[in-house]
Amino acid sequence: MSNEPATTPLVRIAGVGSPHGPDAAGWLAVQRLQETGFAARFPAGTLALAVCDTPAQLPALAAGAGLLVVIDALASDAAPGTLYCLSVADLARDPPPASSHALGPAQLLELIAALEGDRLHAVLFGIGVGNAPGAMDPRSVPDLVDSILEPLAAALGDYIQRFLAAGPRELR
Amino acid sequence: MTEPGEIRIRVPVLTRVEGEAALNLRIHDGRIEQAELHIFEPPRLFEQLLVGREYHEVPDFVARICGICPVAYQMSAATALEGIFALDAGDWVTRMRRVFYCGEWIQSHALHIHLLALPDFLGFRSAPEMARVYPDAVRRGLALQALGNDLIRLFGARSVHPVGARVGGFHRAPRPREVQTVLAQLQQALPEAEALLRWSATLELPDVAQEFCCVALRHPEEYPMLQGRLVSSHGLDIPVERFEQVVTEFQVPHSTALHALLDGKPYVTGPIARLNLNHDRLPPATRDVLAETGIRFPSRNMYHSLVARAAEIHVAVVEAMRLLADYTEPPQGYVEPQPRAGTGHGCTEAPRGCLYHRYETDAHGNIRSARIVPPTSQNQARMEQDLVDSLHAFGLQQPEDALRARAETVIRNYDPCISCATHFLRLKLEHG
Repeated sequence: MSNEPATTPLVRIAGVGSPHGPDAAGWLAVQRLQETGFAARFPAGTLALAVCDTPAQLPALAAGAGLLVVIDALASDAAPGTLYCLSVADLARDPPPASSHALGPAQLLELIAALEGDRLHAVLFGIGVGNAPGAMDPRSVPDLVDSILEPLAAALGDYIQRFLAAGPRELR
Repeated sequence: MTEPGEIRIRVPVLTRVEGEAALNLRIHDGRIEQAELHIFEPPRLFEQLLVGREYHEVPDFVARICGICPVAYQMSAATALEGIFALDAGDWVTRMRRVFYCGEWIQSHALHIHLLALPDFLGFRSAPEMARVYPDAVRRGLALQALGNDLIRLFGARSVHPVGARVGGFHRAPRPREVQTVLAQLQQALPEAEALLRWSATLELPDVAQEFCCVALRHPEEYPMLQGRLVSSHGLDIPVERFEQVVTEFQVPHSTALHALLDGKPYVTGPIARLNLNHDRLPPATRDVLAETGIRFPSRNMYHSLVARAAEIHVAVVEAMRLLADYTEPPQGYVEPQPRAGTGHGCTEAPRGCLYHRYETDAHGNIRSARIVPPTSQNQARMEQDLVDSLHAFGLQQPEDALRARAETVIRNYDPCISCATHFLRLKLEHG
């Protein structure tokens, strides 16, 4: 994990992916959110952002949190840049294509939900990157992330505000 | 359309799948006439991709073959190329490569035990379902997996497709304070690894004895990882340079992955083969715990692979602690290679078994040819033989759902890496 949260904030946002290709979308989005001071929209110590090079880091990141938001590239037939907000129930009902090596973010979120129960609410914010190898020019991924940053930040901000105001029940 | 007397079972797409495979079984007059593991992913052609590349590019290329065992690919490649260049990487590199490899064993075995194999043995359809009933066991597994990733990251800069390894050693030697942090994590994890080993031995695994040939590396002193001679339970004892003289790879119509035979027969490589052939090389701490469990190795029960994996997690934690205890940072983490023409062979113990590489280079160190034989390829023929033996022992009169579940358990028990896959997509069962 490239940047561990310093405290035990209630809300954790994790960008999952790799530094290269369309899979970098979630990672880049979190880095952009860090650079643009997204955490400052909330009371100090409420929110921490991190990037993960493997979904296997998510359970440790979720420990002690009340809300875990995973941001990841998502294979999709929709236009690249389409944003998705998927609950654990959504993922279980209509799982996205499996990520590498048996356990991707969707499966890990389901596992985390099973382990944490009502203590944690988990959600996946997906960034559509096309649905086939080569669907996107890898060099265009930073521009794609920049183009969706504002709506992503707005959707995230709204989601987190609702969680902080009313708890996870409001989000279900 | 199902014909009279014919029964077909299809397993729908599973979310724990990476890689694409299917199983076809045909049963006639109470006998299994066909048991084929179908692998239909397109060939990845890595060996040809490497031809013409410079030697220093190879470790980063081959790491991309597998997201679970990239360290194994890097280490087999590096040792093969260093053999060509007559490069002795030295004691520090040798020791730290073993630590690097320990990280991979821990993360890969912890993943397989807890999230892929255990649901089969505890009667659950998925890891999340199992986690609701066994949360502490799953948390322990995830913590061990995270520790393995941290060890890989210590030397590789990242845990997936690490970029720190190179021919001659590591691009960067970890700082002592970084090592101290990981060492403290290892010390904290040791009781957990011990508890896991004890717990694994209490699981009600199927009790089925089989005859199979084990193949693994064997080192004069250590539990094998990076070095040793290639040995078998049937008397083989050769240097790894002779691998291709005894192992024959061949294609079968139903698989895009090559099958392999040793002297014309299927064989097993992987944790149970390593432990069966090297139980006398276990660190004393692991040997003591394993002895107390009552599970004896060598074992003829393939399902003891799970116990072997747990034992190897313990080995890896103990070994990493030993090797990092007196860590000193060298001036640089590698020895500079002097390329030359030649042929080199590397064989190391990936989590799933022997991983063999052979390279031929020109005078500048450019790759002229490459051959890579991964462990899952070697295990395929044995997996199919195991299906026949295990299902006969299980009873072909069993309900089809039970037969399907047992067949999947048999294959998953090998931790196959069908591009590191673990589950079938389809099972077609025909009764004639």
